[in-house]
Amino acid sequence: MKLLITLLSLTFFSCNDHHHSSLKEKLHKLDQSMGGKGPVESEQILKDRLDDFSYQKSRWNKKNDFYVLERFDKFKIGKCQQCHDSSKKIPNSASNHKEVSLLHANKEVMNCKTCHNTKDTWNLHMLNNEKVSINHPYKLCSQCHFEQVEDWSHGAHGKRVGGWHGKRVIKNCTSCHNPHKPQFHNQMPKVTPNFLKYKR
Amino acid sequence: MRNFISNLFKHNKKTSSSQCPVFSQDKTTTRVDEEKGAKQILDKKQNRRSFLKGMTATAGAGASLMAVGASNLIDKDAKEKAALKWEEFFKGNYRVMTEDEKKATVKRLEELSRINNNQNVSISADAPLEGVLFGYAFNISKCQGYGDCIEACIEENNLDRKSNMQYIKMFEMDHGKLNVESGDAAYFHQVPKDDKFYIGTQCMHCENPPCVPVCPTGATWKEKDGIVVVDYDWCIGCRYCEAACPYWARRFNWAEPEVPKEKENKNQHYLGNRKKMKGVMEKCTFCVQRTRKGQEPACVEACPTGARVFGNILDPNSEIRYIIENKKVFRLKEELGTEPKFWYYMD
Repeated sequence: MKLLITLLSLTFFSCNDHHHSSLKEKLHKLDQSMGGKGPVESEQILKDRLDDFSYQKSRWNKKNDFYVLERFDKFKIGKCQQCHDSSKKIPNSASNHKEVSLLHANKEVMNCKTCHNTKDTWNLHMLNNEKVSINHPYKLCSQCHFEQVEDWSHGAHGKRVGGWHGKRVIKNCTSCHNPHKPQFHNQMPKVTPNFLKYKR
Repeated sequence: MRNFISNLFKHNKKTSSSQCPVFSQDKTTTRVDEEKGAKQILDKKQNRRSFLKGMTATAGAGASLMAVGASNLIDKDAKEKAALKWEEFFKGNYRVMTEDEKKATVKRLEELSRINNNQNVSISADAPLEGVLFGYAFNISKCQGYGDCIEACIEENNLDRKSNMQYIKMFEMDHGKLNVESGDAAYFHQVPKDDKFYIGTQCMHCENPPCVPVCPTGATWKEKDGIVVVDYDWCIGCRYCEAACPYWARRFNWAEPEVPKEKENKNQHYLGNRKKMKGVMEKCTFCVQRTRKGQEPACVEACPTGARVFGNILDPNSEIRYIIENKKVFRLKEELGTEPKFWYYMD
C-alpha cells in the first residue's frame, strides 16, 4: 500500500513537472510555427516611439536586458549642485529641506542619510556605502523591496514606455513612487459610472 | 491553460472565414473571395447582389444625368456625398475586400468625414502583424480604481459622450471574492476604499469567442493577431453578440454617437475607433489603431499604477509571457471554454 502511494505521488509530481515544462516547450514550438522570428522587429513600426524619452541601460542584471528612464531632468527644485557646491558651503541638513517630509518606513529605520550622500550630492548610496547614480535608484529600493524590484525587472510591476515591442524602456521606481512618500493617495474616480448597481 | 495552448495551435490553421456561418456555407466562394475581393465576386455570379450591382450602374448613370441637369441647384459637396454614400452602400465585407478595395473605402470614409463634420481624419486599414498574438494582463493587487483607463479609452476610441459609453467596466470587490457578479460597478467615492479591491473587465478577445458564431451577417470575427473586431458597416444591430458575450463586453449605439469635434481622435482604424453609427455594436479592440503600430492600448498607457500589461504572447521574452509563466494568474469564467487572452494576476 505504501509503495502504491509513493508511486502515485511520484507520478503526480512528475506529471506536474512535465506539464510545466511542456507548457514552455509548446509555446516555444508555437513561436517557431508562427513565423519563427518571434516578435516583428520593424524599424517602421518603432519609428518616433522613444524620441521623447531619455533613458539609460539598466545596471540591474546582465542577463535581463532593459533600459530605464533618466531621473536627473525631473528634479523640481533644481540640481543639488546649485546650492551644495564646495564654494558656497551651504550645510546639507534636514532643516534646509523643509519641503520634504519623510513618510517612508519609521524614523528608527530611515532618515535622509540612509539614501542620500551628504558629501557627494549627485549620487545616492547603498547600505554598504556603494555609490548609486540618481538615474538608477532601483538598486537602493531593492535593498528592502527585492520582490517588487525582481517583478519590475521582468515587467510584472511598473510601466513600460514607447510601445509594447522593441527596445524595452521602463519607468524608474521613482518615476511613479515619491521616494519620500511612496504610498499612492486616495482620490475620486476620473469618470462617473455608467452601469447599474450589480451589488445584491 | 492546456486547452488554451491546444487552441493556440489551431489558431494558425483556422481561417477567419471558417468562423462565420455566412461565408462558410460555400467554400469555393470563400476561396474566390480571398483571392479576388468583393467586386469580382459580384461580377461573376448572377444572383441578387449582382442584380443590385447592375441596378447601381443604371441608377448611377441616371443620377449623374440628373446631377448634370440640376448642377446649379445642388452644391458640389452634396453631390460628392451622395456619390460616396452610394458606393459605400454596395461595398463588400472587410474580410473579402482586396487591398485596393480597402484603400478605396478608407478614402471614401475620410472624404465623408470631411464633408459631414468638416474634420480631416486619417483612417488606416493596417493588417495584423506576422507572428503576433496579443495578450493582456491585469494586476488586481495594484489597481486602485482611479479610472484613468476608462477616461483614456473614451477619448481614444471616440465613444459616445451623450450616453457616457464605456468599454471598461471596473468592479469594486470585497476581499475574498473573485466572481465579478458580487462586485459593484457603480461605485463613486474616494478610492481605494479600505477592505476593497478592484477588477477591470473589458473585451477579453477570446481565442474561442462566443460572440462570433452568433452573428447572422458575419460582421464580427477574430483577426489573425487575436483581436475580435466588428465591421460597423455590416452590423445590423441584432445584438445577438451582446447576449452571447459572458463578459458584458459589447456596447450598443441606441442613438447617433456624439463626440465633440475638437475632442475627436483623428488617428483612426477601419475596424477600430472610426465614427460609429446609430444601431451598431461596438467594443474594445485593444486599440487596434495603436497596437498594430507598436503602441500600447490607451488604457495601458494611462494607468498610473502599472496594473495593466500588454504584449505579444508569442514572444518568449515579452513581459506578458513572464507574468503568465511566473505569477499567480487566473481568467474570468474559465469553465466556459472561451479561452480569453486576458489574464488577471496578483502579487
